[in-house]
Amino acid sequence: MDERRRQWRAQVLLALVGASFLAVALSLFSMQVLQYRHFEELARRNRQDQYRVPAPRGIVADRSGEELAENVYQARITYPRRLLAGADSTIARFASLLELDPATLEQRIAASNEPDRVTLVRRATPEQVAVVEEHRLVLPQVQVTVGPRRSYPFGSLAAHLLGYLGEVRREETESDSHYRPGDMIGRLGIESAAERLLRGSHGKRGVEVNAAGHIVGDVAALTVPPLGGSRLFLTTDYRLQARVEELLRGKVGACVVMEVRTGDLLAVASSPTYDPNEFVAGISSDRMKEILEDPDKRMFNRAFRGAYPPGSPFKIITAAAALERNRVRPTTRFQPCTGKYRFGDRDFHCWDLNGHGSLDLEGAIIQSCDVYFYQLIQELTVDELADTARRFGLGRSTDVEFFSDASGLVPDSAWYDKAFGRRRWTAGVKLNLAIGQGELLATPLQMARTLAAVGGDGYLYRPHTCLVTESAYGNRDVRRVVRSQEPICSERVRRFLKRALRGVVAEERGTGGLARVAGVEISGKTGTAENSSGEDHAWFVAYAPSEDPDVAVALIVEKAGHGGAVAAPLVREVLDAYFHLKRGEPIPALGESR
Amino acid sequence: MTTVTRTLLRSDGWAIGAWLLLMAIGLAAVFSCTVDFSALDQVVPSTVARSVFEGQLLWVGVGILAALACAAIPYRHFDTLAYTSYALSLALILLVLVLGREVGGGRRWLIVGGLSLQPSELAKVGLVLALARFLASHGKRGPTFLVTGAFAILAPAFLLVAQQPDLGTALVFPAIAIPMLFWAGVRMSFLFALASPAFSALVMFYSDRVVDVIWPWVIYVLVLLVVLYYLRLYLLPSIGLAFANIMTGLAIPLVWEKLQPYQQARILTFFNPSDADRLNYGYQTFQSKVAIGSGGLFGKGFLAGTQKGLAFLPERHTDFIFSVVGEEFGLIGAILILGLFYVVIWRALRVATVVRRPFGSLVAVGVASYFAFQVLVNVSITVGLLPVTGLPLPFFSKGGSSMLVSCLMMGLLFNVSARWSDV
Repeated sequence: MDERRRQWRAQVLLALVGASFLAVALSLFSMQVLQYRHFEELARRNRQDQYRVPAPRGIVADRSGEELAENVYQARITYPRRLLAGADSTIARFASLLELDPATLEQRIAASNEPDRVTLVRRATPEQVAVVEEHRLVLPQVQVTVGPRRSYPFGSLAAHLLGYLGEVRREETESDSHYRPGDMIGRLGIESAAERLLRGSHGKRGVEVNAAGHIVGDVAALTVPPLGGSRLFLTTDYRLQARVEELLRGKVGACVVMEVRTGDLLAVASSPTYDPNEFVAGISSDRMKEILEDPDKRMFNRAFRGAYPPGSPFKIITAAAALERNRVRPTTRFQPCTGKYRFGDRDFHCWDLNGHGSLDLEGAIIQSCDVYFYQLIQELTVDELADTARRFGLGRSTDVEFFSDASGLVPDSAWYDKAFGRRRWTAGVKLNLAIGQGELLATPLQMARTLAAVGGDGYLYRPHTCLVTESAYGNRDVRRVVRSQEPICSERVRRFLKRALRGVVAEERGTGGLARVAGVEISGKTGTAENSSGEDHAWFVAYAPSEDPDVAVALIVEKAGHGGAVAAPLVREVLDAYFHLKRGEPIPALGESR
Repeated sequence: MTTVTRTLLRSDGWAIGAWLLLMAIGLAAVFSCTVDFSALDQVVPSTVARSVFEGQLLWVGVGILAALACAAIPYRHFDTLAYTSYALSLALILLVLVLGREVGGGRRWLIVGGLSLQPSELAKVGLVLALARFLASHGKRGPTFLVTGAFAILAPAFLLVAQQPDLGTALVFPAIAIPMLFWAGVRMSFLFALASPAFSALVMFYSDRVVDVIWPWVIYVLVLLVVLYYLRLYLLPSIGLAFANIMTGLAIPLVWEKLQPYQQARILTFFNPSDADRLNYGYQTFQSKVAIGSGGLFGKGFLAGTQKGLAFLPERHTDFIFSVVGEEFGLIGAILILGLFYVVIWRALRVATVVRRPFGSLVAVGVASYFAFQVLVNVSITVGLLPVTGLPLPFFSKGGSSMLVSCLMMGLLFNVSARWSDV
């Protein structure tokens, strides 16, 4: 071959190779000199990683400081998500070492949507942790992390107040950067209502890591300590709460115990109840279904949201409405009770079919004579009754702190016009309203508050569930007592009502005799609310001591019969327990109090 | 022994010097990979074992011996054995297909008595010899014959390797053949037209959605037709080429379906890099760039690379070893290594120019092409200029086959340069 031609070709090839090498060299120059700072920074950050350090959730305690919702430190076993793809053998080895079912484990991994570390075992036992630590070398990147887990040491105690924690939903992680998939968030109760107070703010741990995800050291500049959530002291007394729940166990009903002078709720119970621990541990869908389809609706807080016909305790309001307007006097007597009252072409019965004979207003309240109130209501219009009922706090939310309670129902003529049509209803509805039946609805919380106002200073108080909020910095925020602007009625009327309610319990003929407590005078009112779907609901509402009460109670047992027979003895036990505690004595076991 | 000494003394000193230096630096780089600083405090076990370095040391020894042996035997004997050796290497590839062990998603390795060999590497030497023989013995024929013949020779190797699947290695075969064809007298414009289907394919790869690329591709085909007109090729080859282009363009979506998911992902990541890919298929390239870029002008110092030390660099002792070099020795070191490779290529072409025997001259060009392609593609991948494909850097990447073949190539070069005056 011609040497000169070869030379030319060699030059062409060398030039091509040279140009390519130059291009590579230029790109190296650009990276190593021009963009050096950028890559240097990336290399530094490459070695650094930030892990979230979850903030311990605020503790919820009762008013004495007894912890009702606390954090226990729980070991979790996790694996980095980005390495999952090639981790089949590691996962299989992990499953066999820990004697887990590989299929279940795989399912859990597939179901997880945690972004950086996938939880393999949520609640690891010390034995499981030991196995992982011993086999560190054959289980690379399997990490044991210890983190707080919510625990309710008293189980179902105050469950309806506390609520529970559940896993965050996707929308919640998207709308609030505090949460990541797999996190827990408050559901129901204080846990939900005070979520922002309780959750605190997460910290960060800056670490130096290698590509394998092993932490090589800490980086102080990237570390931010977590700020724990606020500690909440509820207004509840856990001992009283326990007693109330014990009394309601096996029944369907609710009870609210409220401090008269502050509105503090000392006990709030709804039965049946549930154990919030079940939800925190990760509840199975079968169990969840079972709970949700429970006919007695155990998740439902009857104390705040259960709207019942108030029954006879409403006679307090009917009486007040008439007295306030001077339509009757305490000494007014109507036709004697014969057990029934004829209105139009219909007979309205008294609960005592034998009849109460001739009674004055006080006697009618004490013996809860329906016929007396059928006659008394003739002096009042529906709207006058409704107006007084509202002044007594019915028909609207109590504005209980942290919760949304039911407002119940106080029908007036406008309501009837709307419900039945203008002039399509008669004054006959009044007869049912007079004795707390008909369309009237009230919650146990409302009834307790009304009784507290009657027995106390005549004003309604805002119910409180949380006594003190203590931030992680130690700032204490004590609940402010909020009183209504207007009294429920005049002092004259209230004094009369107090006398009558004292008689209900104290007098021989009173319906509430079974509520008597040794050493303390109790005032109260029984109620036997007719229930269209079954047996009557038994009510008893009370306050004590009668003269200057400390505490008011409203208690209802669904479909249980007579208030005086069923509810009054339960309230007696509640009040007995309360006064034992007040005297600094332990609560005696049930049945030993007398 | 005397033959060996005599051969070395007569062969190109520049090439020998560059070769020895490259092997020394390559060994140092592999050693650096086995040193894991985070392992010193017992926290992390080193992910590249010390035995990797010891193995590489052994292969350097084997490589030197192979190069010397290859240099000592007068190369006219290779001329006679050219086709046989190529056929043998093809047979080995076939054997791998039947018996091979699956490693990293492909059947490439043949385990013989503890030594693992990639016959596809050996086929590179076989192809250089076979093509040199073919082109030397048919030097007087027209370009169409030479091109057809050359591609007929490399086709079995290309197809066998491409379906292993190892696209990166398969592309070496045409990359060796085209400069050799040029050397044998085929015009550059003809070769461009020849390579045009590849460009056509590249355009189609620009996106995974056919609608996105159909217009750029149509424009490309039109441009090509204009080029063909200016080339004034015969009608038949012109039509053939245009047809080949159109067919390639149309076939790409079908070939795409046949690709392994990881290959698809790598190609897509290369064309559409995004942050999301950093943790997946773009991860290797990203980390490699960070390593090189953070090396700066002078590097972090031998053994002191943090990217490598903390094991962020994947495949850092094999395909991505250049990023370790770039991190620890900086721009200066990287340019030095590129320079040494350039010296090898420059000397090989120099030898090719002066050697009397056409066979020897073509072998030298083949050697130059081999190094040019391997080095350029490997380094371009580490700096992110090309999509990731498994191609070793000669004398650096850990692995016996690559070391052996690179040394054999050097041996051929020494052989030819020592006997430049042979007729």
